[in-house]
Amino acid sequence: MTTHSMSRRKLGSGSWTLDTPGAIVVEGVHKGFRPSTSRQHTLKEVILSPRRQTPRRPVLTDISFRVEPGECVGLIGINGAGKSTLLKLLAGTLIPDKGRIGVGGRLSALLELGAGFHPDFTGRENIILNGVILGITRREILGRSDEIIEFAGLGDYIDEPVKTYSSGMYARLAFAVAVSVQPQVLLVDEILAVGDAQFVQRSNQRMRDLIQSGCSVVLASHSMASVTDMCTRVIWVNGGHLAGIGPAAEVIAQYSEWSQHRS
Amino acid sequence: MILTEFGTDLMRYRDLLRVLVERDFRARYRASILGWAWSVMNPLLTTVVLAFVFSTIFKQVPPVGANTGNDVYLFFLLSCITPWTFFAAALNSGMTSIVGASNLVGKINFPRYIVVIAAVSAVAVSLAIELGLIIIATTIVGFTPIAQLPSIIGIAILWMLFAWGLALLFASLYVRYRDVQYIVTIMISLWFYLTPVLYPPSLIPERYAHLPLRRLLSFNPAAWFLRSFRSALYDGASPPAYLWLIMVLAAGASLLIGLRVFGRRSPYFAEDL
Repeated sequence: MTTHSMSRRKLGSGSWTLDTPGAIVVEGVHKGFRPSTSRQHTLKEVILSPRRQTPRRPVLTDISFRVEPGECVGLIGINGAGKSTLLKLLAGTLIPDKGRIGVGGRLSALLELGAGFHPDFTGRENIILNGVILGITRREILGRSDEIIEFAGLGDYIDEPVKTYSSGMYARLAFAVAVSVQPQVLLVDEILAVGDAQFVQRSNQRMRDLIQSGCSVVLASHSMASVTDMCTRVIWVNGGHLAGIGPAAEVIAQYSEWSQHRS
Repeated sequence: MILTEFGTDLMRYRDLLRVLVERDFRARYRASILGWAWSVMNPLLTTVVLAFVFSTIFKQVPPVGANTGNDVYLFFLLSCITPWTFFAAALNSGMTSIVGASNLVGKINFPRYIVVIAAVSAVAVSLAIELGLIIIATTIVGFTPIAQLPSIIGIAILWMLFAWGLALLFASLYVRYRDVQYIVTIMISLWFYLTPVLYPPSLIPERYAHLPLRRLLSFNPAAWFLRSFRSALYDGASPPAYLWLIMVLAAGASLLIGLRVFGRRSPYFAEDL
């Protein structure tokens, strides 16, 4: 396996930029959250109980893996296993407590439905907002907006405020924008499950095109069919630990067997 | 170092900044018929009411503007209340901006301070329009502060940078501690009365000179900015060099502190929201 040199530090400590576009390196990452009951959200609580450190509940423990450019990796595991936290760490919106994460090139993420959208603004206005957040210029995104609108296939709804959209329409628009910026790393969390069959098919095709061009994709899903269909390798996360990593068919078989035992 | 990095980021994300400023500005007045005109008329009308109360009922007479001979109480008030209204609104808007944009902050890793900067800058657009109207009005009436335009622009920019820094500080605290909002609101209204806005600084009687009040005022950066605004807008005189120096230092210090604290807290925003 090739090595990717980690260079300049990004915003938070623990997040690095890789020189190889499309590469992802995760080394010994731990992440925990303070239980929400003990979160000190008001000054009163801080003043009354200063420095009472509540232990963090671990969500991810010692996770290490690599993703090469042009690879599609599936991320599977039951609800609460830590898939979404892992994707947020890769996206850089969370920082690891321990270990480090490196991502190379332009990153685009489809994490939560509605993330990055302003509910009062129209689909068209949100395309521009999303584009500039993902780091391309306003002019560029304006130039591509016809193409994005066509791919999203929302018809006249594109000029309606997105708060009137159904979840499927949100997903269509979000996906159309996310892939239009030519990402080199694409993170997808479940979001496509709310789309109809025709859209799922079209978005899978678009992801294949991206992968062809060297973009790496991490796809979290509960649909073993779509993971088998899209991914060459699979990461199975269970209880915050790396339960399995390897060729898609093998890991999915392990996971299915484990699921059956469990029920 | 931290300031140059900040400058490069602003250039890199200027399109995002522009889109966010437009969004803020339009979102605020989307559901009202007169739209952004409210953003300008609201403070102006409030000041007209104040001017009427002070000049007609309390019979206050403003000091005559040094170079302009301006003696209209409305202009005396406007020259300070307009920048102050901006300041109070900008701190409030900047402070809550990160929490308000939680769906953007959770989305992807971009420099979070762009959100705060955009919120403050959107309010600064209103300030620019208001200052423009004041300059036009005073010029038409014959008090000609138009020659002070470069000074006014300079002071306004430094004032905005000062607000950027404080807004960054409050925004990063507000994500974690929602109490900050109440404290800041009270602090702003206390600050308002400790800053010679409604009254000229000379109104504080000499016999209180030994009290900390006057000394407090002389350490109050807002007072220096407002003195400069009044000097340029009302007296028609560019502020003296030492005032410029103080304003540059205050803006720089505010930005440095704001960026420092914000930089330390922002990696945890997505967790705390």
